[in-house]
Amino acid sequence: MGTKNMRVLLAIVAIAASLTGCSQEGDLVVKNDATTEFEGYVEDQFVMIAPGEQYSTTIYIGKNFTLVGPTDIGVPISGSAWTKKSFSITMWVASGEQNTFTIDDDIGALDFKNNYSLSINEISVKMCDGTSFGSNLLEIGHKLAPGDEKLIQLSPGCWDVLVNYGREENLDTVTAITIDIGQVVEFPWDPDYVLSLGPPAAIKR
Amino acid sequence: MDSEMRKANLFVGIFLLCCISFAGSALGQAVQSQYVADFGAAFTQATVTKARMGFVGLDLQVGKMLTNNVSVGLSTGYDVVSMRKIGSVYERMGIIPILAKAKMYFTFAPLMQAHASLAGGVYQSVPHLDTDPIGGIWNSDIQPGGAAGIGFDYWFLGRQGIGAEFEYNFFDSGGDSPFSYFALRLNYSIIKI
Repeated sequence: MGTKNMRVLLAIVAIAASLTGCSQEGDLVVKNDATTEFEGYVEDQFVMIAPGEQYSTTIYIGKNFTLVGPTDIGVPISGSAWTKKSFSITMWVASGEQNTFTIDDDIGALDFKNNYSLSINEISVKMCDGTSFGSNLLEIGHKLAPGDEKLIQLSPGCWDVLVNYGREENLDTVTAITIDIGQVVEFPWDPDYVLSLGPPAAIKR
Repeated sequence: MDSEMRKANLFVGIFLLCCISFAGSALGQAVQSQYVADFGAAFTQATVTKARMGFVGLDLQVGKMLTNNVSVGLSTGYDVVSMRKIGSVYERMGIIPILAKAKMYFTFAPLMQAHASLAGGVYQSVPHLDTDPIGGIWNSDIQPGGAAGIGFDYWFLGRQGIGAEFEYNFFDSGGDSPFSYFALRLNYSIIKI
């Protein structure tokens, strides 16, 4: 191709670009490195990502003309996992690049199950070295029926759990439950189960 | 000052440099105290986030020649700067500029003139959107802004001319970045004594 033809071609390309503007797109990868399933939204799209899996999408950024126009865009990502606190962030996606957001564990969890024959009225927790239990973790006016489960997200450390159950509002305390980041502790609670943990893990009141 | 505003100012600066030129008058061009009306049809394209393919703008400019080379006047129109069909719905972003415009003409050949323009005023956004805001704009609003343009005219039959111009418009979107779009316009011009 001669020089003249090359110039003509460049001119045509420049004119075409000026007519349309250049579309800008970038790839967004949300990778779940947490140990539990992530549920949330990526740019208003509901997604569920299993541990070790990833969600990929192409983000349309907009139109760019020479020096003017966007080359990146903020994409909202929000959600949580059992071992990931609820979060909401803006991930900047750059044109022509693969932009990766990684979800990592930042908390642990107690998978509390009511294995007893009576409903649970209240569940509260405190750090082992704390002096008093916090507020009720069940929703106001709700009880945890026999067989039902409640996920309790906890930061890493040693925890005590106070259970108020039955019409007589009996109290049961389970102590020294160790939670690590990314760990989900199965907790099929009933008074007998607590006793089976043995001292000093459980204190019966 | 964010990068988008710096880019906009760069464009304006380039146009101001264009004004360092020679004066003169072309055969058939408007001269001092005459009025010029430009009827334009343009391809208009938004250059912001989530903007889709541009569409058409129809514009009217009216100016009075203060000298043989400088005119001031008003400009308005309706520019569809983004358009997308989703199902049976056309998502579109319309802009109504209402601008005071100064234009400087440079004669470079008989019957031929180049021109550079600067304008300031307000922009009425008219969005018809369902999925994403374009350039951060969801709702109809009026915001201050400006425009800069370059182009040329070919005058014929004494009082008529045809020409083309490129105009870059920008205005406050109410968000982090200004809204911007360009217009590639064909003009039909009439000189009125």
